[in-house]
Amino acid sequence: MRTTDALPGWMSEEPYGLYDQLRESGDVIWDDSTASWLVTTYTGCKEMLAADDVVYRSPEIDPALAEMFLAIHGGGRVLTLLRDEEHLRIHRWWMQIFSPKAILRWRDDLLRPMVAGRLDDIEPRGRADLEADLADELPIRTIAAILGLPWEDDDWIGQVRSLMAELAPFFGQRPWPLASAHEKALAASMQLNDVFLPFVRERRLGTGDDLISRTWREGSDLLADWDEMDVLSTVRLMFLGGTETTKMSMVGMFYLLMTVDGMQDRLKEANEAVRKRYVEEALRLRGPLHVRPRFANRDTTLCGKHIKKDDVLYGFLASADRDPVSFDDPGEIRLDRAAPRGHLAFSFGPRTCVGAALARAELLEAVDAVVHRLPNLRPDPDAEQPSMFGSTTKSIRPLHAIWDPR
Amino acid sequence: MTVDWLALQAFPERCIGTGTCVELAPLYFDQREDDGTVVLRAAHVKHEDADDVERAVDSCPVFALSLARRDGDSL
Repeated sequence: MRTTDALPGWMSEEPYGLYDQLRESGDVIWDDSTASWLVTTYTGCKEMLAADDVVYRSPEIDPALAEMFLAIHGGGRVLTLLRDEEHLRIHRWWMQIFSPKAILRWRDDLLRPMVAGRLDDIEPRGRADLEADLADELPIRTIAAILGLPWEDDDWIGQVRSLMAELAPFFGQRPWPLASAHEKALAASMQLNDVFLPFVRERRLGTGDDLISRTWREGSDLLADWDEMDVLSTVRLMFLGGTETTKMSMVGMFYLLMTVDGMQDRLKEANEAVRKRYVEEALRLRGPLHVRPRFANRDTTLCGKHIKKDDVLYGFLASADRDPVSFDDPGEIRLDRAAPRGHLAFSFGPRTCVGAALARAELLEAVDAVVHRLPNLRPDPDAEQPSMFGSTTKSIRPLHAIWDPR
Repeated sequence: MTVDWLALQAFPERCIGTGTCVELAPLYFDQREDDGTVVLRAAHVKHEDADDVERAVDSCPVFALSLARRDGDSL
């Protein structure tokens, strides 16, 4: 069933008003235009995602297109396309790599100096596009660094970024990418493989401290017949999952910092625990993951609605995170929420985002540096103003800002 | 004397190893070295820690933790 070629057009660019209207209509509502269920509230989305892989499933690949889909993911086995026991095993492995404990060393040794280096460059200018000049630089270099790739080489990073941008239309139109995106994505995927493959082969012995070596070292304990295509696809997925959405989250976080009166001063005086709460609120209000598609594995009931086997459901996570039933003053940044991490910005359930702790660490280091080093940060009135783009994943650009000298 | 207390329980077979509980309430949770799944460091929760533990339990994305109030003199 192909329902979603209409989805990007059906969602308005700035959808928060639409989400408010949808929630008024119910937790789970039938939409004729897409022949699917729209899950609009926090309760509904959480219940659906918690039952992932049992009651619900992520969209399956059309068998006729399976080979091409795999090739666009790198050609090997990847977490997102695995199911059941294999998925659980690989998901746990990713979680270990990116556990809050594990990323502590990256915060000190990598993230903080990297953020400081970027700000050394842009701070004296007094103005910058924080999307292009800061948010677009940090996550991609972070992923490259932990994989042991040349993250300080601007040309190399630029090449990877540009190829990933060519893949974006394919991955940005879930659950069914438009056919027009296939060919371009396949070509970009092949080129990305060419960029990464020499590094993958070079680390085959698995003796290094980097994540490519670790993937070689531990992969054969995870899946049978582990080979270089599996390692390559793991590298590709780390870039895919660890760059664009973290960048978008960072942009949203900076946007709120620039536009909410007094927030920068408040955070500047606050301790890290409060800044962590700010990061969570920014994720809740401006997280890029707007819609998650699912299929029902069997007849079931969700928030009182009878869902039939193979029905399509869209979980509107960004709507759920502004649900007034679950969040007091849902449109406001509240740094005193009882459960600051209760949002769904990293999804929920057995397919919850494996890179959440790393993304949080990057956001925290970024906001910590920016509140101190870019005083009186505010929108640049003489530059293009930000506008929202995307469909199931959304963000804003550009983000031109000015600030006072320190 | 009757004492109310909070009983903490973990279901490691459900755990996917996010480590969120360890971050939010490290006195009560740890992770196994080999697969990252949850290990309880204590099963009885002190009242002064109840908020932190409750937050950790609520944050678990796969409901691998539970916290229940018990009435009685078991302590």
